[in-house]
Amino acid sequence: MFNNLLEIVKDLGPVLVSISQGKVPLQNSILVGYLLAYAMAFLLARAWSREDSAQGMHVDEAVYAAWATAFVAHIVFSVACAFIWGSQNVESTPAANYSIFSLFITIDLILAYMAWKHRVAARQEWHTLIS
Amino acid sequence: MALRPTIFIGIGTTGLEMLRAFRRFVYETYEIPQLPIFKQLVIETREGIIDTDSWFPVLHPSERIEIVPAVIRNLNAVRDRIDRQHQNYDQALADWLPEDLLNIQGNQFVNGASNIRAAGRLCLWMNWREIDQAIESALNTVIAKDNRDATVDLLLKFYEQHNMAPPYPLVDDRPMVYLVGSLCGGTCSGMAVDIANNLRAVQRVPSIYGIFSTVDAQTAIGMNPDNARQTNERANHVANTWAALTELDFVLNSQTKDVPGARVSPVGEIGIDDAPFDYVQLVSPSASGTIRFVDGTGYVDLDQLNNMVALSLFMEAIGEVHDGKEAIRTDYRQIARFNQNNERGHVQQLSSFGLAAVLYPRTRIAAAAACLQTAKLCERWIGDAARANRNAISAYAEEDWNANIARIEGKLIVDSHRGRSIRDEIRNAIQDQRNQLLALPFAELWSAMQTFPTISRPLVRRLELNGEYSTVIANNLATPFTADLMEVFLGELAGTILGAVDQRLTNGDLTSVTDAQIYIEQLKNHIRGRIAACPVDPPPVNIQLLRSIQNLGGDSNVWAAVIGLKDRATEQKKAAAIARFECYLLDRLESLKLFYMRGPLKELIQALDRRKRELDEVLKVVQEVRNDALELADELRTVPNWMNVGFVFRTGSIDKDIAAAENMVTGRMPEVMARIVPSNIGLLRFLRDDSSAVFAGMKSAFQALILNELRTDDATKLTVDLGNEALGSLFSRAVPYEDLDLRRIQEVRGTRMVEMTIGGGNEALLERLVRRMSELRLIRGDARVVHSPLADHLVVVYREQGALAIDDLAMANKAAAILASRPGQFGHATHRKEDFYDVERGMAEKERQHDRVRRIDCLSEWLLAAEVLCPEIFMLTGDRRNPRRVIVIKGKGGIDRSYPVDQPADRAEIVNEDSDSKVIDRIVGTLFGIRENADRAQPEPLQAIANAEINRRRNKGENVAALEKILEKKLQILDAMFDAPGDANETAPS
Repeated sequence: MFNNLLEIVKDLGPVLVSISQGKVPLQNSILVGYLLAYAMAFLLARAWSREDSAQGMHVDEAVYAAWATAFVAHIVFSVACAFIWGSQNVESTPAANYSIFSLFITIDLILAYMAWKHRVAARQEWHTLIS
Repeated sequence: MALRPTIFIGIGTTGLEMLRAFRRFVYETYEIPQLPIFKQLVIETREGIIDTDSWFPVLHPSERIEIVPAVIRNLNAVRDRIDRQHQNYDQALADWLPEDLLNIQGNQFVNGASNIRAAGRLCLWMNWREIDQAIESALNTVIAKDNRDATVDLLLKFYEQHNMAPPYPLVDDRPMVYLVGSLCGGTCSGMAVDIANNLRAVQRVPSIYGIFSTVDAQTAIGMNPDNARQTNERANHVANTWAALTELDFVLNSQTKDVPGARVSPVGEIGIDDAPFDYVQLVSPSASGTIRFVDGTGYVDLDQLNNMVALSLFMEAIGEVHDGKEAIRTDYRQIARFNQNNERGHVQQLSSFGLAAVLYPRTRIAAAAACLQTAKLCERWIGDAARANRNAISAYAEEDWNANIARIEGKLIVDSHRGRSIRDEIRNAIQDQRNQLLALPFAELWSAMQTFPTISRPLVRRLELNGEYSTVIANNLATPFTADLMEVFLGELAGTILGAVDQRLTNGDLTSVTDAQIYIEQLKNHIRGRIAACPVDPPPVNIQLLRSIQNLGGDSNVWAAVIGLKDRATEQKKAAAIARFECYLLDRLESLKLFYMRGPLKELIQALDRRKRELDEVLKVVQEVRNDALELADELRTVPNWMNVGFVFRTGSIDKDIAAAENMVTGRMPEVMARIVPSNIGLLRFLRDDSSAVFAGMKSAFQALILNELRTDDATKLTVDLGNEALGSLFSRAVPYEDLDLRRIQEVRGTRMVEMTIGGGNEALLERLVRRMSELRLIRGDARVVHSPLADHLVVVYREQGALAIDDLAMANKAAAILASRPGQFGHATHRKEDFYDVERGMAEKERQHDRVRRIDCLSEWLLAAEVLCPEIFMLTGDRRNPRRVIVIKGKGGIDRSYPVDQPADRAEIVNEDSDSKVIDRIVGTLFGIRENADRAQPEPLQAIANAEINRRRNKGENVAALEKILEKKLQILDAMFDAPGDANETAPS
């Protein structure tokens, strides 16, 4: 698994070069989009949590809720990418990519779950605190 | 016309009953049982007698009958006083006291004088100090200017209310005294004369009247003397009466005044000539013929007799009638044989009277109506638990509890510490150091709170069970708990609640005591609810709660850090933690307070329970008042069957009059309530008093209103409406109530019976009534008529027969026989010698005794003079240890006879033996140079003796100038010695 990840990273450089040269293979561009979705989730989590805490929500709760939502959004986005990818019927897609994709989805789920659990705990503690 | 300051002294039980009845008559007119210039004293030989009469409202002590107990708890004190060797020896007491009296069973007199006259007299003597003080104090009271002024004010008000012009003067300043009682028993019969003697001689009372009831003539006459030998009560009464009459006869007789022991009081011989009484009236249950006071069963009814005496007293106590009766006495005093002795030596100074009256019982009607109204009001106050409006009462209780809860809890929990509240102290501490706390890393907050604000006195520790703040609260609470303050506090609190009850009762929210009890029960429920919210045990320190702060995760939140919100999250959590910390501390404080409040709230419940029990008592009082009121109403509406008093009513029957009187207060409840409950005390406090006081207060409030309406009644008007037969049967009973041989008295002796008709209201109407009665031969045409505006509820016919001697009583012979049939019978005589007061027996002996005493006194005085002026007349005999002075006189045959003179017994011996007064002759002769007839000359003024001697010598041609000088000097010395300068009469030794 770790080696596959290294390979993807190794591949990423030429992919980025290819993209910049307009010679990007479809599957690679999906991968890039997948990674970019992380950035977007991060930005979403930050924006939501600031907005919620500004509206009076407990900061921790807002942060955890935003993170959980961002990870779920990322999964949805990733699945959407995979669907698009699958519809291109690219046979040369390396098997490793599926594995990595599955790994990322799993990490997303774990992180979303952790964030949600933290949110519930934080909410309870906060309520205890302010009650 | 003026009222005179008067003391009414009732002696014994009958005296008390007479005065009680008298007060009711006074109350009938004045609505107070006595005027300020009246005073009623009762001297009673029974213990524990108190003056109560449900007719009257709550009386000021000065308005009550003052009962002076005259009891002897231990006769040993008497034994000391008649023991010659004892320091308390009392010669005067020893002179009369029959020693057998001291053998009485029980060795005491605490339950009456046991029908023993000597015991009555002894009780007086042994309690004289208290009795004398009471009499003197009563005299001072009745003549006090304040009391005379108060009486004038009262009378003026009375005349004003009756639209009458008041006479002038209204009040006199000469006091008079009435002594009333029965001669049948031991108390009055034994005391009356001594009390009167003292009033006359020591208190110098100008007018002293006695009204005494005697034994029923029919009783005495109908007794078999043989049976009377038995010691039965009736025989005792007859014997006592006769013994007392004999004593009265003796002391009223001017010829007995010098007999030793005739004029004594407990202070000893009083040495005056005046008789103890100005006028003595005797009454018994039966008059001549068949007229007699009997009850429904035919037995003698003493109550009616007492009432008649009371009515007579009442009429004397109000001005016009007193003057009328005084005129009767003046008439009697002016007739030839008044105060003279009759053929058997009895003084003709007694009198007897009788009266009959028509009475409109205004007070009785008003009182009965007042009782019925009182009972109705009590019914309302008692209430009915089944009918109580519980919802409304519950709402009142909730309202009052909520209104008071803050005050109650604020009072219970004082959490101040050094002048400010602990709560503020906590909040201020956190506020002040908030920034420092916020500056700490989150991880350090927990430990910082443990030691906040200082390590030595952290707030957390202060709020622990035994911490500083806990101690402060406990101590503050302890202040009311310890000492009496708690009781005061609870009392005040309960007072607030009672005040609320009272307020609710007054404004009609609660209509009965039962309502009030429900109300208190509801209040208790509220308090119980409050107690349930208070922790039973001290609240534990909630460590978990504080730990939750620590468990918030601190500032290691990478999730927030990733998106740049770590600081913000940390700040927020620290602020919340500090707020939580503050909440915790305040919460802890409240828990402590609640914990400590539990006890006082429980106490409060107990206090309310006590108040509820008091309400039970109140309920009991109200029930008693209701029962008393109904009982008295029943008694009042039953018109007494008095033979000499005819009751008249406006509507024909007392029940209708009472109903009409009740209507007079209908719709006037606010006015009545204002009278019943003074504004400064609430209803409940009023009802917590003694039931008799509550009853009297309620009844008098109603009664005053009703009497105000009944004020204008006129008995004369109602009497005019009576038929001839009714008038005849009533007023024919107005005869003297002693069985007398009137024909002998009136025809042979020539003293006529005096008649008087008294009435109030319309004067013309009264005259018409008198004319009618005269035509019906119920009264004589020349009878006195007294119009007394003050007695407009009465029409009275009064007859009095005066100038009576004791043997004018029909019972005289029989009573004397009964007394004589028991010679030496224990207790009938108030003297060691049973016949001491009997003027028919032993008067010669009494005179001899009197003469002997006079001669002993005379000799003593001359001996005293001789000691100073001619001591050479005495010789000394006997041995050196026991020298005796003697006077030597030449007797028959020239033989010298020596007479010892030092001891009183020696002088008595001289008087016995020296019948021709040679000793006195010798002394006087030595003094003045005369030898003959000195004894017979002695009672004359010394000056006369001296003049006689001077004339004798002048006639002999002697030079009398030198002798005159000597005699003058001697006379001066004698004058000084006998302490009567300038008055030759009193200078003479007596």
